[in-house]
Amino acid sequence: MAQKPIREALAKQLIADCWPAELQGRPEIKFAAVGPPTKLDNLETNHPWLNQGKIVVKVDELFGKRGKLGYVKIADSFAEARAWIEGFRGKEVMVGERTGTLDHFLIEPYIEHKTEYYLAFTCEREHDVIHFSDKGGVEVEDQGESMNEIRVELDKEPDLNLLPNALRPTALGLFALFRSLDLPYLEFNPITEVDGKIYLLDTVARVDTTAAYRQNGTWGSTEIPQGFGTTQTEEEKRIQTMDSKSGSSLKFVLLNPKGRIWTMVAGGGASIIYADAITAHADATELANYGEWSGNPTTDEMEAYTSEILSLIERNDQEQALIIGGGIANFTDVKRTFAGVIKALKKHQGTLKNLKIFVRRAGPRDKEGLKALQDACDEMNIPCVTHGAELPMTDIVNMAIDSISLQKR
Amino acid sequence: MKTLFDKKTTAIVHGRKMISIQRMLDFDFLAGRKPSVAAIVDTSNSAPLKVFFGTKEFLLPVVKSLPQAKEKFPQADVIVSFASHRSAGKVVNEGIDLGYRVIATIAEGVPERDTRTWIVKAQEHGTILIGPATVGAVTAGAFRIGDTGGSNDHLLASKLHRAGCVGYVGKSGGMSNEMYRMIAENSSGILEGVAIGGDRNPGSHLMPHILRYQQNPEVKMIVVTSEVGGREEEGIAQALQDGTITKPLIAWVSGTSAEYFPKDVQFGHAGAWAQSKAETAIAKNQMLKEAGALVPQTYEQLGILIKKTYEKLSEKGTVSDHMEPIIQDLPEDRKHTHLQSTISDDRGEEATYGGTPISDFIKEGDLLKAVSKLWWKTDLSPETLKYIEMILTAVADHGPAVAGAHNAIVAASAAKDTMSALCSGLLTIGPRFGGAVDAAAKTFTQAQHDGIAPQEFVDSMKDKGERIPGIGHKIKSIHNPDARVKALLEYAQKNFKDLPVTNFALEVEKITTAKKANLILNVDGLIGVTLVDVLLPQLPEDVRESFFEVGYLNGIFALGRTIGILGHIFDQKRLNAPLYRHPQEDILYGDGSLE
Repeated sequence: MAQKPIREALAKQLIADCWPAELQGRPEIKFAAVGPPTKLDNLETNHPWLNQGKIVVKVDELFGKRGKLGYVKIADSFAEARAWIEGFRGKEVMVGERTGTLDHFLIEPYIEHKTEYYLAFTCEREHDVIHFSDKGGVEVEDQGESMNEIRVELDKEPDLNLLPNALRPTALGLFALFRSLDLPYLEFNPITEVDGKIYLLDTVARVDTTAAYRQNGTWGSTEIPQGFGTTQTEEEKRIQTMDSKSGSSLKFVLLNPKGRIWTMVAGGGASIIYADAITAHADATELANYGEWSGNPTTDEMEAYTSEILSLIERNDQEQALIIGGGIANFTDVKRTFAGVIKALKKHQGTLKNLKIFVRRAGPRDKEGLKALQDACDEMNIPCVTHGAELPMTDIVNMAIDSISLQKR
Repeated sequence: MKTLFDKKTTAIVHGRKMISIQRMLDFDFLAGRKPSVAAIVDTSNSAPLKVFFGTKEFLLPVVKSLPQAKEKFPQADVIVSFASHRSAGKVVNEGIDLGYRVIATIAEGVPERDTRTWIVKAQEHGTILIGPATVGAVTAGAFRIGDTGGSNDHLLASKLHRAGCVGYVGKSGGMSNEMYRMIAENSSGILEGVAIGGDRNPGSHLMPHILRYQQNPEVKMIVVTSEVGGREEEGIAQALQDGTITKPLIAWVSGTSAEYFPKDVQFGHAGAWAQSKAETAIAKNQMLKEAGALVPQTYEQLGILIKKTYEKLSEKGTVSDHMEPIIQDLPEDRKHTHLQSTISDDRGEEATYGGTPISDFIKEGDLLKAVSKLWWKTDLSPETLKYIEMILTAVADHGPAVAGAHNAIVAASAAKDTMSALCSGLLTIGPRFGGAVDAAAKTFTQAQHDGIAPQEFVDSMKDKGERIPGIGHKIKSIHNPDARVKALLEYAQKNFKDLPVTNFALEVEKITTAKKANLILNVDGLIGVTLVDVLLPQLPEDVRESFFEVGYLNGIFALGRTIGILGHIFDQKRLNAPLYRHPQEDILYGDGSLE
């Protein structure tokens, strides 16, 4: 639950759909979005303009610098654009350090233009900021002194005197959408004006996912994609669904299914510290996942959450360690949450082979919870050590690393 | 600058969070102060909450809105809000407008634009915000927000029940408790701790708390924990370099692992992601260290660093260990009572009605005095007591043919015992029998309260096709008035000055009797409206608030009529009446069709 980038196609769709009726300057928005289910054969029928002049086609996969990377193409005909898309479609590529599949494309009419502006809206703690430069189309870092920053108080309308006249009504509308759509980041690089019409040649936007509940008519019910190269596994998807339905927090990211250290850490803050400790003491690739649960989940939720992780552990034949860590809880009931962990372990006991469990947790009813978990593991012959607040929080990390003879950093 | 809270701080808790509220009160007990929760705001239910202070059970008042809380408990200047992420904003905005000093929001998942708006508004009003997405804050030995510090065993182990010398501020609510323990094990413990919350824009950031600690002479060293994301640490570094912060400041920024992840990982905290290189944990730790903060190599060494720093201060004589206070025993197995009684007590030497020994009532020999104590927990004026007695007399009986008496007679003639026969008579009292008193009182009071003109009221009832309760009589009319009504009304008008609802009903009667002579204010109607006028102003607030829901007026009818019903039962028993059987010729058999 935080800021997440959205595809250019969705950003443009939102601007087109939600443009405030009373405002002038509505930009020209015309595009065809291509996703995995899109049939390219039908595209021309739905978008007759595709064969009426030059078009621009680009990859729409939540990463930037597409022009430099060769993921933007100016085509003379749809046939040419189609061939270009088909050359990339479904292909796995590496961008920066991430590998992902190219599944989404965006096609727009090619706009002959002279001037290029940079326009972006960002959030500071106590005000909004409008970034504007007349040197659009290049990297922000390269714009130097031409970049202007206009601070706008949260309850005030912006002063756009720095912007060219032709751009002002559009900028005003876009800024209104930036606020009303809960977009913490909205960037146009470049934005241009041709014959009194405004074109958004490149759009980048992020949504504040915590506002989804009140953006139901706009983007709230749309599935917000994961970042490029972060295809979700079934386990991750199921835990995400669980999380969205629960008043508590249940987070899980699979980093490396072949990693030998698994974590199930309670608390947003503690989970970061455990991840730090593991990557500080062992090869970072040994960390199989990042996970966090908090907010006093129910026994059933904990059972389901633990089960997902155990099912991944089972598929890995190596000797592995599971760290059930956490600080001293304020209100999460240790006994109740551990009852779920025990249930999941019992369900999986027949198939869990090379697993050792290391526990450090404290909080309400911790003595009872820790004892129950220890007793259950003893009974099932699963090697397990349980500690409370008497042991420093991350001490079990080294115990775990040593127990499965991982090389130390 | 002082701590956020002291031993006298009291709070309004928004949300009926039983366990969290009990934790606050347990903390108060262990810290040796009076209860810190003044009242609870529960928008849907104002029943008081049973809680313990130590081992003694008591009731915490519950109000329905924040403005009500402010009015009734003006001394409380802190809000602890458990409102959901959707309604958290309303509480903060209202709280700022009402002038609360500190507002803590526990909810996670508040939209960023909302918190940013709060921040600006709070700044204009000088309100201190804590959260959202946090467990809160604690001033050791003085006040805790909600669950901060956890269960009693842990808060004692973390020495939160008495003041130490360390000022702590961090992002994570969950980790704050771990830090309190770590600090307590390596120094004299915290004086104050704040978890600002894991959002990107917490209501109050790290810096204002650090500055407060710098300015508070009782804070000797400062511990700060932060996370990857955001650039607040630049301000801390700046303040260290320009000499604004002079006390030893130990800092650790977690999230070094983010660099090693093969893909984007959103940590559990919404704000824990780096927008730029400068926001990474490694960069921020480095910057703080260069600025003069004490930064450990890893989180594991944080405790040792705190210990060393404290020892240095100790050697210098800046700090010294105090005697530990004696902790009052707080048993784990407290059980809430299931029953509560507020009107009488049989535990003492002599049983009491509302605190007054029964013998006092006996000596006075005034039954209605006891009724008023037991029913309404108050003393009524002698004129009122007399008036109620007149009413009881008026409703005591109405002949053998009415529902209550008839039922009782049938039961008695079936040789049922007195109690069964009485019950069968009383059970007929309700909306149609005797209930007109209650309905008339409610309807006329509502109309009078809404300021509707009598004519308008009559018209609207006609439009709705409803009879006006308390209006109309079978035999009596304006030409042949009901003597009971006359006697009661005369007494009421003579003895009570202010009769707004009664006067309204009499105006209505003028309109209805102009249409039809028998549409008079009947005895039920008159009793209803006069009792509202006479009784309500004399009742204590809690009794008054629930006047209509509780059903006192039906109660008066039942009390009076019991006398008559018992009379009929005794009468039948004396007569040894045979079993009653209703005559067949008086029953229409079948569905009433001609065939």
